[in-house]
Amino acid sequence: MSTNAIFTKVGAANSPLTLPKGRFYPVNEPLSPRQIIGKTGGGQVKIADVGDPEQFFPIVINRVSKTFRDNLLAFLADSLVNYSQNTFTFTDEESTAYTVRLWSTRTIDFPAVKGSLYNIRLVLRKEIT
Amino acid sequence: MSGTLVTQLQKQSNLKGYKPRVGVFIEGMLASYAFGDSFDVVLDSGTDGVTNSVADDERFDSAAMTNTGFIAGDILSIIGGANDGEYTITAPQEAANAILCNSAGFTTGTGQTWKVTRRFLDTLSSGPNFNLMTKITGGMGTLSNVQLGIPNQELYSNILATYANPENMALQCALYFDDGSAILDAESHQFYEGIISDFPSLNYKTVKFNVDGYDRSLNNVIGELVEEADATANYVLPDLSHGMIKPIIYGDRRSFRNATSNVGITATEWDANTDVNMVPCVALGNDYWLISGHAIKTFSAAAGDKMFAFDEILGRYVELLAGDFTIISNTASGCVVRRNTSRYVDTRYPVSATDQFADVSWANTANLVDNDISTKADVTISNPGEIAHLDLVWPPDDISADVGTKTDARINVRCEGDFDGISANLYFENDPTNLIVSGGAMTYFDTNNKSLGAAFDTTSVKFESLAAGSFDADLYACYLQVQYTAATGREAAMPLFFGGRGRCYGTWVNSRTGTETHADNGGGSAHPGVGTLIENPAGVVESLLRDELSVATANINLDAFNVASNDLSSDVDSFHIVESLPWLELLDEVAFSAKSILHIDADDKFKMVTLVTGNNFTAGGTVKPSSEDIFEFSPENTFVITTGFNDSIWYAGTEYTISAGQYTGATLAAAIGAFSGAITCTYSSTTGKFTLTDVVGLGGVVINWTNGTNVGRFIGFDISANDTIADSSTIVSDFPLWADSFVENPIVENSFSLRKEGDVMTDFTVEYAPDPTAGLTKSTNVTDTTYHSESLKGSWEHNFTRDKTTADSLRDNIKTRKNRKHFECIFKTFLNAINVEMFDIINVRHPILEGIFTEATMNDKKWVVLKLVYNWKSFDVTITAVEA
Repeated sequence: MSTNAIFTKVGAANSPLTLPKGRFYPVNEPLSPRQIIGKTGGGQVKIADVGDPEQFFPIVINRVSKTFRDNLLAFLADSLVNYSQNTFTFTDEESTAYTVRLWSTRTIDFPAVKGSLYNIRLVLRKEIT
Repeated sequence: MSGTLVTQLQKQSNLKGYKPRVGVFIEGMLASYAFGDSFDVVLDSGTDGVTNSVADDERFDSAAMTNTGFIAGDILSIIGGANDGEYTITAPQEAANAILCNSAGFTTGTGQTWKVTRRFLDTLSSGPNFNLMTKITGGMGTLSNVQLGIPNQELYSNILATYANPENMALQCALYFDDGSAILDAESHQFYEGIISDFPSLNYKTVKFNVDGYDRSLNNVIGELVEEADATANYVLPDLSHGMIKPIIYGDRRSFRNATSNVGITATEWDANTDVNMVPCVALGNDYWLISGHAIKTFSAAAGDKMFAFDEILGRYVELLAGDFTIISNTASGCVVRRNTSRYVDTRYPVSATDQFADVSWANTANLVDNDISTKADVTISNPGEIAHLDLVWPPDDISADVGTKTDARINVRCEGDFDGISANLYFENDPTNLIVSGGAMTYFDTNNKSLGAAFDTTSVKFESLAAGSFDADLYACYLQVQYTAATGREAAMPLFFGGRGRCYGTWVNSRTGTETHADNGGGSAHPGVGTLIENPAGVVESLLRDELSVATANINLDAFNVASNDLSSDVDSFHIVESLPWLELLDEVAFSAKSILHIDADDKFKMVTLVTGNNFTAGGTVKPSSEDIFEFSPENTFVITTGFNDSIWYAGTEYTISAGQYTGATLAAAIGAFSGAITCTYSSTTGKFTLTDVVGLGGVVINWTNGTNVGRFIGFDISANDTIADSSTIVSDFPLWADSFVENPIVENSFSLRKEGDVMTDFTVEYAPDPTAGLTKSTNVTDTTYHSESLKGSWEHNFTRDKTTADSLRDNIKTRKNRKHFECIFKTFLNAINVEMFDIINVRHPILEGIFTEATMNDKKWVVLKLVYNWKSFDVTITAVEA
């Protein structure tokens, strides 16, 4: 059963934080295999697998309330999360849980839009252990 | 000599898909780093862990533990039981077989399963790229520096902060493969070791390291100054000795030029030893002189070791009589001699030999003054009473009263013939009693006293017949020796020179095992090991490393030096060092002169390799290239049979055809063994090898590998020659193969290029034979216009030999490399080349080469590896190789 996604970090502010809406379509979950592909002159391939693939979860939700925006910022700013420093759990709409880390590495910007609402843009990265 | 990989690395490096892991370990730091995924390496493990909470709840013991390689920060894992969990090691060498983990709080237990791992953190911002390079003519190879960056977001600088002097910490880089099971330290391949030389920047974002490839002091020099403390007791160091270094002597510096007894010497020995070949000594005061700054071979006058002085009035070297000096000491600290009496022997060679016709003429008299012991003046007399007469004219007698007082004189002659006193007489000075006596055919020197009262300018030589018959006399060489006592007070103006045997091997040359034993250990009575005179260039290089640079055995690739010593067993070095020299410069020259490269290998060991014409391919050690030696544009995959390419096997005189297609090791083995019942074939996925077994017992089954389409190489056999399986016996393939792998080494797409390298010369001169105090004194020349008709001259120096054969060998090596430009190919391959080393001989197969050389020539052609570039971002290796 599809539900809205949830951010969880035990002890952190507003945890668990349920997103007010489902992620907007198209929902991207890009996967970057960490492989180096080499080819011989004859066309045969040689693959160096240097690690687990990187998976990202771009979160795009438009027009959320100021309250949710503030709750989300408080969650991210909590010392137990501290933006990218620590991991937290992202449970997607299919109830699959991932350990993730905030990957919006430079700027967090949730622009205000008409109706005192806000658009949410985040990128999460699945943690590789 | 290619690097040897353990089976796991052999298998993994050739897989078409693999998981390489690069680990960087920095001595003294609490973290290790990886490029690629983080990973743990199992350093050690056991099942006998002991803890005792009463005695010490932080201590962990295991008799099976070898904890000498652990560092603080490594992780102890206890599997199962009350102590199950991970503990950071804080005292890795608490005691033999014991470690400490602070605050562990172990409960008491025995028989605990444990392992110690090192965690390599995925925090390297770039891989440790570096390259190795050398020249085909040899010399010191170069190993590039490495730059590394570690992100500092988690404040790794804290780790450095506890180390006041992080420079000079050793850094080791190793390759691991993650095959899904535990990554073991024993299954790693160290490919680089250096020291941290600099931190070009350390900021909040990154810690950068510069790593130097030489774990040595680059500015070090060879040569130790003679200082006041070295002076003779109660004397000051003579003024001219200040600033000099303690001489370092290699090789045989004996000279026959003043010999009084030279029985049995050969023409070659004469040629080598009638030259000026001494080593200047350093005055220490009170007529004590330092021969060398190290022990020399035990001084033996009987063996021909001598001391000389340079008489500045005469302008030549004169021999100090054996009883007139004393070897004071000969230890590792140096060899010191004292001159007791200023008495010398001056040697002169004739300036002309002229026939003075009596009854018969001497022929070829010029040969008596050519300083060549192998050519002769000769005469035959036929009637009783006949005399053949020649006069030897000596240089003017210049031993005046200012020089000293003459006390003796004699003539030495190398001769043979019938002057036995019955058939004929050979005599000097017109005195029939002044005889040279022959025992028949002689090949030695005899001496003949010469009257001091006689004029020294001319000596008559007469050969007189005593009986009927035809008698011969042959004179090869003559010289005059005059003994004198120097005028009083002349010692200071007569510095001493050493003419003997230099440094000998230490115990380090003994009992060395490996591919070959050392040429100077166990090579018969002349090469017994310790105490053997060091003349072999490989021995010289190793001695310089050990005795002058204090390089430890752990930093010397013994096997490589053993092989080089045999490759150079015909070379004879003989030189001395009397001025400080930068070690890199000196070793570069010595290695070049020995036609060898010297470089630091992946284990931080000095390695010497000689390029020998005709050497086999390196990796396989075979006459024909094995799959391991081949770098191929379009490599074969394992266990793929292609019609008309590798689809046949000949045994018991019959060719059988294997169906084309993709096989597993087991199914291919079954197909090979299914034909006649004469043999069976099996495959082991553990060893990667095929086994052929005779099952008929009919006197041995011949396996014919020489057929062009045979499967031999593709299942890992050395196909340089056929094999025979004895009755009921087996043969096992030489090279392992596994599924999903390349058979040959692949060449990366669009990475291949070809060019021509080097200079072109047609006239080659090598100067050699260093003078005691000046430059080189001899030269050897050859021309080669096989490829170019112009006269293009080049000259090189061999500063370390007096031996013409050795100089010729260097000359010919240079000629081979420079008589034309050689093709040089550059291409990339993958980590399958991790074991390739400098001067390895490989085979390269590419359509461009096939077009130039034809397929048949290309398939057997040897290429010498001159440069390796490792790129750990793209996980490839660039190889530069030149035609062998």
